[in-house]
Amino acid sequence: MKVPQADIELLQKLKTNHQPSFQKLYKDYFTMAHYFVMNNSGTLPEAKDTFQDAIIVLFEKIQVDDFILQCTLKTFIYAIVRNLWLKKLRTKKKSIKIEDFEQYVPVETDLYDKQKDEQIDLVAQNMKKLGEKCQQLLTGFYFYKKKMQVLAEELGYTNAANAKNQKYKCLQKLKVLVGAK
Amino acid sequence: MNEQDHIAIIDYLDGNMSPKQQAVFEKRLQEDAVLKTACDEMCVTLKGVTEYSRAAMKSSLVAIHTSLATANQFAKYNPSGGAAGGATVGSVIGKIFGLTIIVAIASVVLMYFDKFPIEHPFFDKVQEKVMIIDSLETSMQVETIYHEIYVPAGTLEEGQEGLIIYEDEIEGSFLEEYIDTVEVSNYE
Repeated sequence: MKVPQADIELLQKLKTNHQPSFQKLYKDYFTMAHYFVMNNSGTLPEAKDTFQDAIIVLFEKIQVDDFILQCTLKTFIYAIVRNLWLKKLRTKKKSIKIEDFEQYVPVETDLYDKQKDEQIDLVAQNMKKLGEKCQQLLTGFYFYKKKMQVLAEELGYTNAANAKNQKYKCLQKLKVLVGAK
Repeated sequence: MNEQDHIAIIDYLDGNMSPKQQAVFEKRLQEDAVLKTACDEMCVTLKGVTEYSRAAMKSSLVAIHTSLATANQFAKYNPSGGAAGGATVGSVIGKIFGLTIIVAIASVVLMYFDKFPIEHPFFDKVQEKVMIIDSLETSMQVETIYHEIYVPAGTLEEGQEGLIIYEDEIEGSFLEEYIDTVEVSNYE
């Protein structure tokens, strides 16, 4: 299947955390997710939650260097929403016959399962106690997958090595905050 | 454990080691319990950073949802038809209007309070759905809800569908419209 150029361009912008592109994605595809969830034993809040999780999954997938979109963005998002919703139904021990409204292509989402770990939650809570720069440095590197050079320029460090050194200090500080709990 | 080990752990988890350095470090991990514990702890720390980032992104998505809903800017959805051959909104509406009459909000109120004059399991099912929707909205505590129920006209037969349209209202303006259906089953 030929992937529309507009989809590729939108993904490229999403990859750089371009906020208007997230808005467009939401505007164009939320109703599809909503329709799917509502017609498969879900509610509006569950549809919102599932769609937002799906966007995060999409974002994390496109950060991987070798990611190539092999179907339309609409089909891809539908597949992620479908997977996530099926998992939630399984968690709720609900067994239903899924009704599809779009073509379904298998998409791997297991890697992005939320880990229910108290220790992870504790770290996440303590991230808020770090300074703004530390937060930006850590989220920028580990979630937005920005290069050290880019982060150095954005955050005003003299070079990538200096930014890397700061990242190390931020992680140590975070560990101390978690340990102090 | 010295600072070099801490740096090595981060380099290892960041994928900044050459294959040779990685092999040496992994051998050390097998032999040094203290190093292994520190590495596991750092791994959890990095997962925590990711969780925090996801939560932050989710907050921004919630804000996007609110702004789009307020401006009523969601794109209309027309299902393409999946592998299981799902019905489209258009076909459902067409079908409904083909064989239904509109029972206005007053009827819903009657149904809601269990005073609808016609007794049929179909209405129980509608009532159940309306109550689910109501409880959902109550839990959100910000939205008011209006229902319109389109039910099959005449005799109720198995396989007919009733359509529920419900709209959220925030501060006087309608924001979204959601559609659900109820199928008439043979309860005999």
